[in-house]
Amino acid sequence: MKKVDLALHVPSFSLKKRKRIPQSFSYPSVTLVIILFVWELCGRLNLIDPFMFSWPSKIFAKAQDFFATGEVFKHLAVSGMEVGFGFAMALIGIPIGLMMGYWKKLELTFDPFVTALYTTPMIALTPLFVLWFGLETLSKVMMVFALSIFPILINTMAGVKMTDISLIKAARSYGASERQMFKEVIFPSAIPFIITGIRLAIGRALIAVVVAEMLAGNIGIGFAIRHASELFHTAEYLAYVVVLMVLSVLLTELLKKFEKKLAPWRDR
Amino acid sequence: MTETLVKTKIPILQFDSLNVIYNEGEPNQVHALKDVSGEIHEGEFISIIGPSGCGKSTMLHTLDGLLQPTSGTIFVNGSPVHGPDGDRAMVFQDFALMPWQTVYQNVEFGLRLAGKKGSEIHDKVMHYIKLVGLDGFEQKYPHQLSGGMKQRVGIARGFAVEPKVLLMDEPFSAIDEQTREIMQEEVLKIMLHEKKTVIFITHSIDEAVFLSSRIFLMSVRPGQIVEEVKIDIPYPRTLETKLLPEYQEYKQIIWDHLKGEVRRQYRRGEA
Ligand SMILES: Nc1ncnc2c1ncn2[C@@H]1O[C@H](COP(=O)(O)OP(=O)(O)OP(=O)(O)O)[C@@H](O)[C@H]1O
Ligand SMILES: [Mg+2]
Repeated sequence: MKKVDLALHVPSFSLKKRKRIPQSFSYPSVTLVIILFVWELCGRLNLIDPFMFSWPSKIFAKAQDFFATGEVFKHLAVSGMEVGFGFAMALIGIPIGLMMGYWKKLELTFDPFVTALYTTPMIALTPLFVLWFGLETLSKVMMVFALSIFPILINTMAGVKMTDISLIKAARSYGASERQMFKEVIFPSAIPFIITGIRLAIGRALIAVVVAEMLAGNIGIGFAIRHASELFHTAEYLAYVVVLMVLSVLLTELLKKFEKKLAPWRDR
Repeated sequence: MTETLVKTKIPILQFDSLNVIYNEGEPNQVHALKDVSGEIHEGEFISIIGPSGCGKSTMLHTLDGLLQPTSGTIFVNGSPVHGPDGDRAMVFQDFALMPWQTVYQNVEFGLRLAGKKGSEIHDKVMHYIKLVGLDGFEQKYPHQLSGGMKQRVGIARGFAVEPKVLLMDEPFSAIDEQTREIMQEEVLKIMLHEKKTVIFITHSIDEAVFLSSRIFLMSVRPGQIVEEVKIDIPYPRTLETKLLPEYQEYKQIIWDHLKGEVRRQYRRGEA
């Protein structure tokens, strides 16, 4: 162990002195630049039919357009609001997961159903949700909720069950009440798992909102994508997809930062 | 004055024919403790020695109340034990520190759970942090400490609740020789000045003879107390104690016994 540590630390230390960009950033950046370059080249050499697909400079120009007119913000605001509300509701999965992980009887009673609902491609329920909750915002909020609650719940539950048994023993030995056991041991131990659950849930929430908007409604990123594709505005359509991609990467990175703040004992 | 064994009083800890069987009735059943009985009086320092895997930790966890024995009873001051309580505190073999809590918060653990306010207990917590030599490390997390330092946090956590009986499971195993000697003196001091009772698991014969008023020798599994050796050397003990001829004799007796047990274990092909 010691030797490995040394080998890992020495080079990173000397790197810091020269103020280099971290490798976790510089390496993928190079890959990205190469991909964009080759892609653009293919487009310029007329290897890509603009009706079927597009290339970076055209996509970028379209993006510039809808940013300048503010069109994209209108859609983002609506989609963001839908994701926000649905996601906030899905956080109820944390307390439920804590309880199901802790009380064996609750787990036995509900676990098969939770697992079934988690593994079902619930996105197939979108038409039903539209029928129940209407063409407007509510159906999207409910879809986001339905898709993102389960990864949060299941990961929280797993986190509780992964709690080191000797820590539970120590807390019991020092007279922990049920409430103290949750506060001092089980919840902190589950935090990293909860965050993983949230990260998985973000991906599903974005899928839910986009698909629901594509199927019904007249505003939101999903609608914008459908609209552009129906008019065969392929570059515009791809530009919206890129916006979505960038957003989800940013959200995930933000969460990683957040995790470091919440779980400082895990820094390695 | 220092021999505080007043036999007329009710023992502080009494246990009758304790049996612990893990996974009873299943194919992987383990009979860990067999018919273990004993009486421990206030102010005694008991060491438990026995081969690895013989059930020492099991016995300590049972005495703490963490483990419900399969059969048998435990009494503290004459009343039966139903679970862990404030009379006994445990120092765990695997330290069992909360990784998300600082050294300070870990040492404070038992007091905080007992509902004591942060300001009232600050001096006490700092006192025990200093006692184990971790002054200046209060705000560190366990992963930032060495094995020996973690172990000392576990010891301070046990001391801090100031229990009547301290249950210590190989508390010095990861600590260097010099620090270990200081820690041994501290434990003896606490035991003598505050009339604490200590039950102490160790693999070091020297440590056991030096610290103990009585030593329980355990057999290979199923763990039984096969012998009790009373160490008739008065406290306070110093480094000169180790030069006494009887000190060496005690060590020899225990060594011979252990060698026999370990041989038996090898013959059974378990070690
Ligand atoms: N939770 C458990 N479930 C099943 N078997 C167990 C459990 N805990 C301990 N054992 C078994 O009981 C026996 C006694 O274990 P114990 O930890 O008490 O030994 P020990 O004397 O403390 O050993 P060491 O000196 O290595 O710490 C061992 O054979 C062990 O495998
Ligand atoms: Mg042990």
